[in-house]
Amino acid sequence: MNTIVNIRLATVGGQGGVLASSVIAQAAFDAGLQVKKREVHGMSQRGGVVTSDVRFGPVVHSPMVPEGAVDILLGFEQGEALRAVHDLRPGGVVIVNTQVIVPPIVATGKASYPVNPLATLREKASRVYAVDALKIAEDAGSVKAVSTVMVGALSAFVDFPEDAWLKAIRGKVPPKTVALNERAFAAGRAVVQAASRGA
Amino acid sequence: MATRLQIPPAGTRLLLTGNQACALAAATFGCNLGVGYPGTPSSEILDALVMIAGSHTTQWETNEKTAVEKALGASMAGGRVIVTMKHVGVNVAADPLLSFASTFNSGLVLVVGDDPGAHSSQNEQDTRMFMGLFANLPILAPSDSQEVYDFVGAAFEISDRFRTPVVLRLTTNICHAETPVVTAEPMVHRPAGYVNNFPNNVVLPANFRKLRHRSLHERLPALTEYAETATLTREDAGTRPEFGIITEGVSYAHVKEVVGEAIPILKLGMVFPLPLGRIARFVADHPKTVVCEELEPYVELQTKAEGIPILGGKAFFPREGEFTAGVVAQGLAAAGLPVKEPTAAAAPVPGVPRPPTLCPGCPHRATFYVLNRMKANVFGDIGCYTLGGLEPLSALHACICMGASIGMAAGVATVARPETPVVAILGDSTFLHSGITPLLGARWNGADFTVVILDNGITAMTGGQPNPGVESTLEGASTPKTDIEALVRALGVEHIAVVDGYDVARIKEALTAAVAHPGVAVVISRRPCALMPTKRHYKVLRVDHGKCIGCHTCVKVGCPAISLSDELTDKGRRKSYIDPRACIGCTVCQQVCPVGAIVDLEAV
Ligand SMILES: Cc1ncc(C[n+]2csc(CCOP(=O)(O)OP(=O)(O)O)c2C)c(N)n1
Ligand code: SF4
Ligand code: SF4
Repeated sequence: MNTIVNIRLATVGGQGGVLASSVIAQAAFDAGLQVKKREVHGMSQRGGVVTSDVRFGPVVHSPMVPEGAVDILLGFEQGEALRAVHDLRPGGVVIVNTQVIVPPIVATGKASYPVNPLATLREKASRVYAVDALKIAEDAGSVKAVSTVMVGALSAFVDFPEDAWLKAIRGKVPPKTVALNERAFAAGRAVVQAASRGA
Repeated sequence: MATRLQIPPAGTRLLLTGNQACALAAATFGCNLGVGYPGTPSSEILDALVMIAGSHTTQWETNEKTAVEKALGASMAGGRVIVTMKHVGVNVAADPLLSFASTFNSGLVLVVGDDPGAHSSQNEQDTRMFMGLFANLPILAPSDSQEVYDFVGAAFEISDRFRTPVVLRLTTNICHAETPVVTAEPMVHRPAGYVNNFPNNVVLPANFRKLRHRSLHERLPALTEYAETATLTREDAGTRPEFGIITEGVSYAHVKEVVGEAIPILKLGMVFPLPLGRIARFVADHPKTVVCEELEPYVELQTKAEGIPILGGKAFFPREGEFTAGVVAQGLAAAGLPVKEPTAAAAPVPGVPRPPTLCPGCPHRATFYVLNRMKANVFGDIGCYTLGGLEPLSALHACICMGASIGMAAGVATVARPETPVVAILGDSTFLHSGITPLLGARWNGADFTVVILDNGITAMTGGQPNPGVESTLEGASTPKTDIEALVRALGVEHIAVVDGYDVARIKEALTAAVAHPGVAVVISRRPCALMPTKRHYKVLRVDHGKCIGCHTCVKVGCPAISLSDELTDKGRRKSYIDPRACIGCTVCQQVCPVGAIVDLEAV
């Protein structure tokens, strides 16, 4: 790997985005790369926007992905993927969880949710992979595994051995949920591998 | 408590956040006490330190001032101590800090997390100005986790050598950024023991004047000389020597990102006192030099005051907000430095507004719902409950700093009492932090308004730290909790009601009585934070679409679990829907529904 890989995770508080970015960073670190990662969460915990950047390569200076330089956008929610897509570099990849999380401000009719975000994403980016991570996580055993499904989906685009991913996951998730998260990872990985082969 | 982590041997490579690096360094370099008050972005330092095995004690204090005061004692006893807080915490702790700054004591490192861009803060004040230029305390400014780690060690050494507190100034993107760290040899520090030292530790005017003179005329020059040669500050060579950039902290990372090896950089590690001799030489060698620093023109002003001919600083870079590679590239280009065209973002696509909201089942919700209905003028405070000011609850109308709610309400009630109720509202942690004294004053002076204390048994906003109102310490020891009701009574408040935070009718009744009471009345609304890991046996609810009339009353409680479904009433109004995965069954929406349409999920 001789260039820097810039990953941005666009998530909603409570979706496990922080855990996911920490798994990705650890996997890259264990693979011997220079890694930097950062998080931005406003008033965390309470359903706001949580963004993380993970960057790895031979030399990485800043933990923050520069404007317009995102290689892979991991959108944990359709509207959040849309919010972040302007920072995708031309030719970059979008992996989006098709889940929609409607904020209360929309529920009360004070704002509206974007119409068909997936279609807009496809206009803005050439390579968009839609993943029903919520369903996959539920099938794997818990909706809480959405973030691991997304890490699995990402893994199909990053050239680390599968073991490095699994080791990072085991080290970061609660011990009782290891098997569940391994299933979630494998399922997320398989879905995107199948889709990218088809594409 | 969970098993504590061992301090790794020297040479271990780890990926750590700045906060984790700070905690590990404190434990590694022999700190005896870690103390502080939580606040983003630096809360996780003590959260991490308490997980590390060692001989140190780790404690949350009641507020930043009491934390610093405990640290002064630890320092007087010859211990090594780190005190952590966020930037605004320094304001609270300023009184002991500013006087102690003139004494000669060692072993004290004050770790401050600044928040450029005010991601989770009420302002973006610059600690370098306050603790450097104003308090005259040496300040180290690391750029990544490795430097945080190394600079903690250096800070202890500087503190011991010059017998002064030392400030480690972090910012959000250092605290929360994970970058690699290689560990050092662990050491143990044994406190020398406390010895009375009247001339040094009693700042009576006569003593103070001598201490002040020595600190300004002996210690400050010695520190400056140290800063001139310290390896904490370093230079990166560049291929274009006519240009130069002076930078520090996280701005260095952005500068490197933009210029790589092209332009020489003077990276300041110690930012107070500034090595002005070194800066002058750098500028002489690199005549076209700019200063690139987040927030205030701190380095720039001192450099200019010294008559060093730099191109400028804030003429090219913003004084507010957080820097990015793009911002730095633009500023450098504006100053005429050679930078390659930076990558740029496309036009943003309008997304969905997603303001933070109170969690499903948040114990604060019902109280704000009632206050909204009462059309109260609500003087708020800082905590999760500040979100009670946002739609649809919209029941918080002022919020300035921690502890200000009661004083503001008292001032309004004294000068120009509105027709509708005057209410101050604050959380348990905030009340104990700085709400007791204003309540005491309000009661004493006979103000007439209502105080609501939202007692969720935790400091929720900053991640769930314990406070003196709960039965355990940070280290997990059980301890008697402060009984807030008894405390309020002891202040002389006569009208007190304690209500269940989920009981809408009872809250309304108690607030109505409190508002009618002449003089200060206190309502304590109690219920654990919905994110506390306590066992709950609530039943998840659903909307019975057979009964729902589409009035949207439940929507007005502002619970993220409630939205509008596509099912319509006869009149074409959308019926409500509760997401069973998000609802925790607090029943607040059920209580306000006028037709009993909200029922147990299982009910048929
Ligand atoms: C002087 C100062 N110190 C720390 C903080 C960070 N902070 C914001 S809210 C808060 C405490 C909130 O606890 P509590 O009052 O119990 O309300 P809760 O969030 O639990 O609802 C803290 C520590 C701050 N804003 N100002
Ligand atoms: S963290 Fe606790 S106090 Fe804060 S909004 Fe959520 S439930 Fe309420
Ligand atoms: S009972 Fe109602 S208000 Fe409480 S969490 Fe469930 S949906 Fe939200």
